[in-house]
Amino acid sequence: MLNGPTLSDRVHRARVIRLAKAAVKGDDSPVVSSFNVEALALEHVDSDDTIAESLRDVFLDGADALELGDTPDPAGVSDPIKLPDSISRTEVVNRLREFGGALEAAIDNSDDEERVRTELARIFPDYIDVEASGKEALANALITGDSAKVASVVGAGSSGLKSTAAYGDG
Amino acid sequence: MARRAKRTPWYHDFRKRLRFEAGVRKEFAEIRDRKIGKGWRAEIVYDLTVDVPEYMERRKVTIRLSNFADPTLKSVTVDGSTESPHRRGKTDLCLWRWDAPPERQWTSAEGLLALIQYVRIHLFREAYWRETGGYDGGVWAGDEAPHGDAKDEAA
Repeated sequence: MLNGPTLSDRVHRARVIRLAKAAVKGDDSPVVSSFNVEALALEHVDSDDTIAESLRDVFLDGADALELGDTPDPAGVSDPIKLPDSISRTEVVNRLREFGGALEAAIDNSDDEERVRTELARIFPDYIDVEASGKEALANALITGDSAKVASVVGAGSSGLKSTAAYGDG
Repeated sequence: MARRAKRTPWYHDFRKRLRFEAGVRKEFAEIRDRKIGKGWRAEIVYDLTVDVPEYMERRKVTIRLSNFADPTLKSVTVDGSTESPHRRGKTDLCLWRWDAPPERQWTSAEGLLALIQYVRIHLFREAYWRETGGYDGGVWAGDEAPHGDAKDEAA
């Protein structure tokens, strides 16, 4: 079912499917099966789009479709693809929209690396450690005396703090 | 003949207290203050919960101040992990040396909000130090005052 129309179309779609499966399987209880991801990709991926846009569409358009009912069997020979027994349709739709919403935010803020990392970490927490980068950035700012960076992270009342030296029992 | 201005403990001086607490309740709406004792000998205590920057941790913080003409810091205690190279006992933060010059420690003119932010930064440094190895090579993201001076130990 994943053949054609061209090699580049198939490669594009295969990449989107791999990413979508990685996102879905990142949850303790995946909200859709791998087969469902493939069927949604077949329906909603446009190879003229970027990978990110296609992945967003799989999630957002897939959520809209699943809200109306189960995904039809792409080959048209079997029953529609069922959702996992333990998960409600509402949970499925909401989770896919979370994935899609995060991707949309990442695409809309593509010139803001930190924002993009934050949004992608919502989808791929096993692969993108946004917290670690934030921690290291703040630690570096404190060590080098970058008061503007410190203030941007720590918040109101932290601009102009003095450079102190901690003391204690050690 | 000019009259001497009446000196009042800062907590009873409404204007001084307003200046000192400026901006705090906007950032930490649940902060509570209480007075233990009376007059100049009273201890002013602020209780609040803060988040540790960049960490998904919340800490209960208690700030104790003397009620002199201006607020003087007595101690800052926190709950949560006690593993730190800069504590007195288990819960008292050692934010700076007791005799650090004014430019190297908080002063009351900076206000309560700045003091809370010094505390949050100290909590971040502790968490980062623990995460990067703790006593086994952990990184303290900032300056540390030298230890061991007899005068310091006596203090």
